[in-house]
Amino acid sequence: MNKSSRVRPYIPKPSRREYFTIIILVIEIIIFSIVSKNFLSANNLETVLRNSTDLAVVSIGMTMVMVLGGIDISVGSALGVVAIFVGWMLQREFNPVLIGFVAVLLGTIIGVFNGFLVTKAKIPAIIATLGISNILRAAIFGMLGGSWLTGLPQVFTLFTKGHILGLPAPVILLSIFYFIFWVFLTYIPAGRHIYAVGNSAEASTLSGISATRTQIVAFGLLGSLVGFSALIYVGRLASVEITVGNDLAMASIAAVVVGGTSVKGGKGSVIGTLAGVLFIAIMKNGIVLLGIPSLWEKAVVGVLIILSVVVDLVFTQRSERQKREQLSKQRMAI
Amino acid sequence: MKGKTLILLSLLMVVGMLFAGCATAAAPAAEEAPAAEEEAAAEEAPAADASTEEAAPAEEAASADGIVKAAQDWRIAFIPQLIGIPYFDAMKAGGEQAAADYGVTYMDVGSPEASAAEQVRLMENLIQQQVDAISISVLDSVSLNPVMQRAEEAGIVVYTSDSDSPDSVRRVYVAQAMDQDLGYTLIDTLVENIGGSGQIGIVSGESTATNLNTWIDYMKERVESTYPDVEIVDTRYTTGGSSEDALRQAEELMTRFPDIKGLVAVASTTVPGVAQAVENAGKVGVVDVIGYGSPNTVRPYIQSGVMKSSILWDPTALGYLNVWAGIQLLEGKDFQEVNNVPGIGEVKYFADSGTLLLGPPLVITAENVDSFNF
Repeated sequence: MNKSSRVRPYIPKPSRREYFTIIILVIEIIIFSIVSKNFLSANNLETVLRNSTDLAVVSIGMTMVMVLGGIDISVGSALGVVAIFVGWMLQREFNPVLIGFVAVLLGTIIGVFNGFLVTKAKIPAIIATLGISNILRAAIFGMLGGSWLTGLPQVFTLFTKGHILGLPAPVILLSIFYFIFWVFLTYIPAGRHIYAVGNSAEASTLSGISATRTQIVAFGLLGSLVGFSALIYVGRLASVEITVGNDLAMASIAAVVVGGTSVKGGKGSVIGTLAGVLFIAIMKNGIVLLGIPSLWEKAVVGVLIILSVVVDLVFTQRSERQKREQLSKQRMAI
Repeated sequence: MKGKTLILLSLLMVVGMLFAGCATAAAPAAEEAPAAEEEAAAEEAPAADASTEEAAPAEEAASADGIVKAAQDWRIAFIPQLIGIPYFDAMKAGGEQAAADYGVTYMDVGSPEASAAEQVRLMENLIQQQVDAISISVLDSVSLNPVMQRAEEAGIVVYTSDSDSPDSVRRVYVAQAMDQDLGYTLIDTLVENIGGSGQIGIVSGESTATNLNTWIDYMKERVESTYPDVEIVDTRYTTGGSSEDALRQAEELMTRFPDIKGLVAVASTTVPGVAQAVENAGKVGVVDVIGYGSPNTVRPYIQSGVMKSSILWDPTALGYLNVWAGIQLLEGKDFQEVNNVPGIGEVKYFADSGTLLLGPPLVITAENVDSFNF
């Protein structure tokens, strides 16, 4: 290391792993545009994007929690509970801004509570959020009481039908969200701490970073994003039924893993996650467009997750080998 | 630190139990001691509901005469597949109405998740409580047949309703409608709605759901045998029958088949998603949606025109018939080929399959949607 690199602020470059996801995403798009005549139509691409907006927003938060080495499987049930509150408030014609505020607040409270369970009560993240998920799922049953919310007033339709500057609203919305969180995770100390704690909680504590606070912040932010996604969900479906959010946690974890975030924590980025979300969404879209039986959808996503972890391992091993080789070369030079 | 963890954990469990308790208010506890309390609660429930429930069938007024009170206060339990969905809530309302009419005790005992193991556990509890009759909507006949046998051996009358297990010891199956009628009626109605010809797509729940698959088979059979100008282009299955997945797949079906004229939402949970997909695509009036959705679920879609009809049966009436059948069995009265059930009308009995049939499927349209509440 030379002196100048110590003075210059650390600017992480996108890793090879992210390029890998982006490249297979591009290959996927090329293949589907050749084999399906409907795939490249503006209408279809917009549909894919619109239908994965809430997943994409939740996955930002999931990335942060997984970089910390944690996981949150309560996001689907949390989204369901918030969506029911949103539905109730829509039926009573509350101010949309107020509804939005309450949704994000509720989500944040759930997220922070998860964070407390994981840090203060020291319950492993997968167990704590599994418990919360079950409790919230029971709450959904209790709150809906057998009567689903259908035909809700279409207030948050910006995300379903809206256009901003001639572009579909989700494009703008996701660009803003991902840019903000990319900056947060790349340049803002609080964001950088997430990587530090994810790599080694002990080492970060020794260097004065509060691992507890970082984790609570990450779970809280994930909660806020889940709350916001509930608005998108209700805008998209104008209904809340009993299975709401059933698949969200698994879909989000799959997207984050395919996007290159290490399941062991410490590595990953929102750019990779966005590529992961799109990759899975386009894969599912292609499966329907090509008329492949639905059963294969689950199998394909399963294979993708395993492949991603394998690719991760290969990349890690190779970079470690390179490091070792470099090190030994340096020693030889001495 | 450890102490704190324990306190938090136990708090968590208490909260969890509270929620579970709310959801399964009628479920009997594992111990026998609280069973007495449960019973008292179950007895109060029908009375409270009869005064507040306006959900009872419209025919109720006419049913005041023709009802012969039961010989004694029989305790009839029903195990639904799960609780907390409009469908089984309506069955419960019907059962409670019948219990009030005939002077018997009705217990609706279910779990908030559809699980055969839970049904076995609940049934064993009911055997412990020595109820007089148990009716069950069977989730998995293999796991339930043995416990049904044990209940009969304990002197309890066992029969099925809503979902059958033909090879079990059950005395009768109280059926909502014939699967064939449900499949055929749906296709007949849809074909009429889309003007006699065109492409239609199907969006179902999990690919393993037996009842949904049976209905789909009958739909295909009907199209093949009767409507040469109608083509079923694809059948999609959704993860857990979620509305969100249904919305996505319905939109993609419309992309793949731009001329599609009809979409069938087979699982009730997929109805809102498929209907919303057509609204989002701006194809209201172009693509007609039909499915097995309850009136409360489909009302907004029928009003907006995205759905013209929904096919179902009246689960309130089914719940009523369920209790009526239990009383007949307990009092040793044989079913006739055609039975006149007060409040419901003529009910056919098929001796060879031991099936008591509620009637033909109910076609819900703009004209009658407001007369139901389930």
